[in-house]
Amino acid sequence: MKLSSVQKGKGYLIIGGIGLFFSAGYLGMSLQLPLGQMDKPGAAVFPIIVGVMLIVASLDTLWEGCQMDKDVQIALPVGADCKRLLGLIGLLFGYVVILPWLGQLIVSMLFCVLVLRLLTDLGWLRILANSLVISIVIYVLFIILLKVPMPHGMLISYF
Amino acid sequence: MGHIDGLLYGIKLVLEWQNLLAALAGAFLGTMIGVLPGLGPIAGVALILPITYQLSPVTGVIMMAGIFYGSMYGGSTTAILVNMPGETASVVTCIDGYKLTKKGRAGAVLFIVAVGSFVGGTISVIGVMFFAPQLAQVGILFGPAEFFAMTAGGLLLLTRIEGGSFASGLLPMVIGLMFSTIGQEYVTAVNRFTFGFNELSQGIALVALVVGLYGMAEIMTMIESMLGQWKPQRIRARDMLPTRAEWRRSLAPFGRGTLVGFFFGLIPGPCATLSSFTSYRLEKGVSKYRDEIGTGAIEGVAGPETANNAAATASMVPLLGLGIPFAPITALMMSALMVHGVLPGPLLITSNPEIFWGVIVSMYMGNVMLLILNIPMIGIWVRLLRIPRHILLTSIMLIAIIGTYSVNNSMLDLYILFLLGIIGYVLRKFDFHLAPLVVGVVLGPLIEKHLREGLCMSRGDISVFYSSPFAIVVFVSVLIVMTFGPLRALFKGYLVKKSRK
Repeated sequence: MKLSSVQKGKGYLIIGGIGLFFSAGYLGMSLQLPLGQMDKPGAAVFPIIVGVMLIVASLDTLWEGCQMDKDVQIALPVGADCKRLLGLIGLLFGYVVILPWLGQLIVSMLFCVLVLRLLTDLGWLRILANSLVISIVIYVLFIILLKVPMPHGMLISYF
Repeated sequence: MGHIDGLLYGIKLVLEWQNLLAALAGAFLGTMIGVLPGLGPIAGVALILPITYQLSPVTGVIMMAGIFYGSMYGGSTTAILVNMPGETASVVTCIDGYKLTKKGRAGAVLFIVAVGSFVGGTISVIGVMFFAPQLAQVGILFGPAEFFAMTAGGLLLLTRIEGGSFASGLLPMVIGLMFSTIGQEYVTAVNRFTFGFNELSQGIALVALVVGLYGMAEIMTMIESMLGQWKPQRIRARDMLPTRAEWRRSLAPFGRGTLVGFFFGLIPGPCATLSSFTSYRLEKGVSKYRDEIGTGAIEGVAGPETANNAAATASMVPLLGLGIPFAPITALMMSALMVHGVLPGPLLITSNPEIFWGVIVSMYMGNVMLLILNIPMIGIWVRLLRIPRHILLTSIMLIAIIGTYSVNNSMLDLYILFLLGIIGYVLRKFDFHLAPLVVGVVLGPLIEKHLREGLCMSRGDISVFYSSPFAIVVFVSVLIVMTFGPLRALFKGYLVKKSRK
């Protein structure tokens, strides 16, 4: 496994910054909710408290990021490892986007083929055979036997 | 209902075929989830959650409890055989367990682990049976201020108890609380942060959240460092029996592990993991054979494995007695009960005795089932680990997607699953803790409810939250735990500066 590394402190600074950005938006939206009175608190009270806590937690993350020793590193994947990880994220994204259009069975088969191609050096024939078995077993078990109502696919229904 | 009557009632309930089947299926599925790296008990229970909605509340909770302690046992199998923990509570088991496997004692170690899990689980159930009703009696006297102190204080404690930096627990906890505010608010029915999505009125689906944070993020981590296939060794039947010396050396760790596990189960935090680490440290400190621990000693496996099962069982005390879940799995159990219209709390024992006693007796049964199931099935678990990793991971991902979608039949849940998978991966990469996030999502509405009830009942007097002696004790304890680490670091820094001068 090839690895690169990044300073953990820098990661904390980025995460803290994102947290601060979100807390501003969240607090802004919370203030638009009905506040109520002290004896009849409205829907805004708890989100406002949480928003303030998010600001505190984000500032603490930023502060810890600044204070952190530069030698503390976090390993990040590079090369083939990074490609595999990003490939998987892309395939998962593709799965949830295409699922309503093509339906569970077809999307699962495509997903299996591409994931197995990404993870292994197997030939296309074995990949196809494995994908067919995995997706059909899962389809029979969950969709037919357990009757989970997964999308059948708008395009499939259309044709 | 007294303990004996309750037990008899519970036995009658659990002996109904559907409950027996649920306990057996739970123990089996839990062991399988624990054996397979990639899902872990929390994501595993989350995936089973939709199935339990079809069952009665008693049967559903019995099944989930079975999965919980089954996965505790299953995780150790992978740790011992292939030096890879199936779940975090089995991390320390790898140290001595795998070394014993290399010495050819894998079968005997798995046998000892099965017996230890049984001992820890069974003794712990007795504790749950006596402690939970007492706690519930105290809980009946509590008002919103006390419950607010317990839920908010417990959540804050959870952020520190896992260790790490202050922000590593606090930030995920607040993110969890923020997620909990999404959806329709329960008093005035105002929709908050739904951005026009009707599906979000019910809030973020817990299954999507947990499977994303734990399951998908774990799979991403595994795929990032995809190494070769595991090759667990075959175990012959004659190697299964421990020697007399191994039995003798395991007895004291069984006892110590049970006590440590039960204690950790009662406090907020990842009880099973903390208890197994503490038990290992304890064995290294007090065992007669402490010098051998770390090089392949049975004490290093027997103690932690007994402790994590005892802790898993004891973590039911706060849930059954007070209705407060202090761990992600008990949080999931609570959400399943709420779907059925059962509100866990101090009144659960009187209003729903079938759930309380059903779960207690099912735990006794479940531990017996685990023992009966696991010793003859060790060979099957070994074979499961021989399935090629790429097939296993691909199947787990597909099952996770189907399981998540099936809860609300909502595509939005799948988008949340995907997004939280990435968030979980990043947070784990930078050593942020995920448990406070999940517990924050579940405790958030309770904290808000007790806060608003307290303010309404006191006519807006905020001092109600710090005038009760119980609340003061809780908040002072939280303050001590929260400030201990930073103060110690400051003091150490001061000493270092002083010595440099």
